[in-house]
Amino acid sequence: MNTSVRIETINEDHHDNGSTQVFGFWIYILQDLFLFATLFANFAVFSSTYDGGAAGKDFINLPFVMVETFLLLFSSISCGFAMVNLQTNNLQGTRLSLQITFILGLAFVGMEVYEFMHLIHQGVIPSVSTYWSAFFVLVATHGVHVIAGLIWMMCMFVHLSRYKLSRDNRIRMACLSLFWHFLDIVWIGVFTVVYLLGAL
Amino acid sequence: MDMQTHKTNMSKYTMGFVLSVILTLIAFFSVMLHWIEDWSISAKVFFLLGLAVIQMTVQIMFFLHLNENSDAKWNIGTMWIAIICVFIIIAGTWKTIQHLNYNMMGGSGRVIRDSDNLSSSLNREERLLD
Repeated sequence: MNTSVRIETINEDHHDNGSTQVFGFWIYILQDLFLFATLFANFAVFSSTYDGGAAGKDFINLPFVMVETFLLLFSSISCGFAMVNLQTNNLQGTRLSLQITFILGLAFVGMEVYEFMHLIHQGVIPSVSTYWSAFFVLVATHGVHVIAGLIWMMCMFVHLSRYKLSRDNRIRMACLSLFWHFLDIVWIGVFTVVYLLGAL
Repeated sequence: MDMQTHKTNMSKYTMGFVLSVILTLIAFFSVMLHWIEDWSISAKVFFLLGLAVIQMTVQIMFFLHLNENSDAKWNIGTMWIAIICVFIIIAGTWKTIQHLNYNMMGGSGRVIRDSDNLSSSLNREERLLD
């Protein structure tokens, strides 16, 4: 009797922190990393194939990219604070931090869309040269991931208002924060390889 | 106990955030304010890539909390395998295709303005070293 009770508690403990689900999501993130690795390798190889056309250097606006970087960095820390609030069972705090994360992420996407529109307006489109194909594919793939994160956050707001701080919601939040921090880490690679090295 | 982890988490996030801000500012200002203007091209590349790797490490350590639950060993083990694979993908592609590209002067759409060409300057430096 005593043993069976103990086993049950152990099982429940293991179940309760949802670590298996989070680990599964971590594996997904690592395979997503391979996608970005191939795109980075692609970009690095074609980093100077302008085909005599527009060079990346002429279109890189570093202060603009720096603002983008800080938007994403601030959204990352506010996502971290959402997790801290979740651990202290503060639903309102979690929601507020996540809303701030969402707004900063949205501003990032807005800036990136503006940058792309600006480039296209000046006639710089993916078909101009291999460099610009690699550029658009790499930066846009990251952008699409950020948009996916934003959609996930919108779903998360519905989950939070419906199920409050349930076990499932805690697992969802753990995965969401992993995803969001991962996007910020990939962005470090993007701004270094595409923009800083491109502006040299 | 809950309060304690809360505090350590909070300070961990803040610490990681401050370090990330500093590293980002160094990276951008060194290019924007021409701090590293006089360096050789390969020194600049190594410097900027080094800063990026340091900042990635900082964010992995301070933001991802990989070693905090019962799967710590698995989280970190799988991460190392992924990092090794990523290194092979990027370094391997760069090394092989770059060499191929260089030997196809002009043929692969590689007609470029010489002043903008990072990889050709890198190659030239390598050749000078040889």
